[in-house]
Amino acid sequence: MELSHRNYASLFLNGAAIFILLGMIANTTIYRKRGRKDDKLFFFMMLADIAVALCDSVVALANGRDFTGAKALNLAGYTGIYLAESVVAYLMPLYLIYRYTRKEELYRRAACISIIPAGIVFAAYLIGLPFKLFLYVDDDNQYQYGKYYLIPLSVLLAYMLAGFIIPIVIKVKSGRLKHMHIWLYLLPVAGFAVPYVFKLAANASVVYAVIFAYLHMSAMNEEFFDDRYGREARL
Amino acid sequence: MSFHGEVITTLYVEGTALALVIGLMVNTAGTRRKDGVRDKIFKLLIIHALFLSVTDALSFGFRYQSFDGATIITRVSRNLNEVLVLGFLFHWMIFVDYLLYGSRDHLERKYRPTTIPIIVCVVALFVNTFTNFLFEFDDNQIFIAKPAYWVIVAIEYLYMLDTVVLLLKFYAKSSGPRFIRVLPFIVPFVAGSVISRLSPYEVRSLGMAVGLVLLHFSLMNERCYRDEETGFYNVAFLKYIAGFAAEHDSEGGCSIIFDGAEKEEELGAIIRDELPGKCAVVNMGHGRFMVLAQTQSKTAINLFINAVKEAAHEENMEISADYSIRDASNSGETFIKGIIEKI
Repeated sequence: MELSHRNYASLFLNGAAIFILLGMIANTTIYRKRGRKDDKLFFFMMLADIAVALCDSVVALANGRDFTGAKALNLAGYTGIYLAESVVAYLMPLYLIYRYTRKEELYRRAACISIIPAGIVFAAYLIGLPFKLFLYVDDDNQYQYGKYYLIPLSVLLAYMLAGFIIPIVIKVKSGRLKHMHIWLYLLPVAGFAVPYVFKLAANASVVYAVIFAYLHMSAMNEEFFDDRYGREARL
Repeated sequence: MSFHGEVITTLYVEGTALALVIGLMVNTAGTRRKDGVRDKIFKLLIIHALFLSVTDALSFGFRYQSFDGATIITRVSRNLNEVLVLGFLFHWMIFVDYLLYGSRDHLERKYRPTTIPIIVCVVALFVNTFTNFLFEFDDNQIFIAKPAYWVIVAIEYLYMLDTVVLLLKFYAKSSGPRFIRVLPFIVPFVAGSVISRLSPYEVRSLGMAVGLVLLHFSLMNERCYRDEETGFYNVAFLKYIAGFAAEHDSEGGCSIIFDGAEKEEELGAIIRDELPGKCAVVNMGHGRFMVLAQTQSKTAINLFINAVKEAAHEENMEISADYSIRDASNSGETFIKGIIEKI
């Protein structure tokens, strides 16, 4: 089976993303045991990104091919990518809100409000499939944008932007987050922008994996049993 | 200037590796202890990985380019790249050894001879810049290996194999919780190296970067629970297992507290020498150590306490010791509360 350079790039980067994510899942077991919500949210974000990487690998092997089931596999792969990305987009701002404010009420309110657009996008991708609204594969089994592809994509981008802005706001307002180097996150974000300049597809799973790695590195620099917010550390 | 497919693939891969390594550098800057040997070697590994990503990108990025400087940049970058790989692997061997044994003397004795192959290879790579006897580049700046180059590759893999053997030997002898996972570094590094040899892509530095990131995670996990000065567990670990034991009814054991009146280093060394198997030691600070053991035998406990006291007496130290046993008459929760009160 002849693969293009782009397919190989996809497979290498998805492989690297899966390795990073599985390693992080194994290394964050002790963090999940300490019983905080943000650690659990982080875990689910990593699982969603693994799903993105797996679906992207399926697509790298199926897109443009004509073996039996290739078209169904291709469509399922791309749909899986967008569904999993919706989950990552929904969880990211919630994770940041809980981790940096630890305010239960704010977190609950944000979770209830933000699930509505994310849920609509999730359902829309599934419902829109037969009508080719947001994505479809053509007769040559090539992925194509649907007529309204920008609508759900804009919603997901808005969540990602919220994920970028929330720590900046917290840093400016409260003076905390001294060891969160927000400029650093421009590096993985460039992983979306630079390929676009060269008219290539970005590899979302590895960009998210790098972002998650940065987030966990900064989390590890904080106290493990953290009493900063006046709560008792759970034994 | 246009780029071919495999060049773009490699540049994306190198960009990802660079992003990971830069993130690692920035996030570890504040966590390094000034006199930490392990931290200094790890910092060197990160710097190696950073320059490796850059030289990889440079040695690959000018493929199919025809301007005058393309060949020179490619050739110099590749030679530098090979030197950096050898330097990385050498420091990696030292790092793993120090991680396991914590002894600078051991490093000096064992690793002085292993610098000789590296020095020979570095000289050979320098000579290769002018003579191309190890490798060369065709008109499209594509790498062509000559037979002598595989000697350097063999040395690289032997260094890596040495660390694997070291790890397996150490794990076969030691017991107790392992926070640091070294094999998750080795797997992506070797995978990246093999793919780079067998395919037209360069992904070695991505494997290296992924491995270093995972290693950093496990090193930081260890810091949650280990006291770096003595290598024993810290109080956070004690709280963690106290909570764990309270939830899961443990079968029985004892806690022994030694008080060395601020002589932390000396008493720590004595306890390490006299410690029987299957014990966990917590450094409580100010020269106090708690030993948690699975025995309920007063005879065994007193033998251990007397051995430590005698060794301390030989060092002109007077220490005190106290113990409590958890048995059928003493519930797990009461035992744990007793431990926590002593913290």
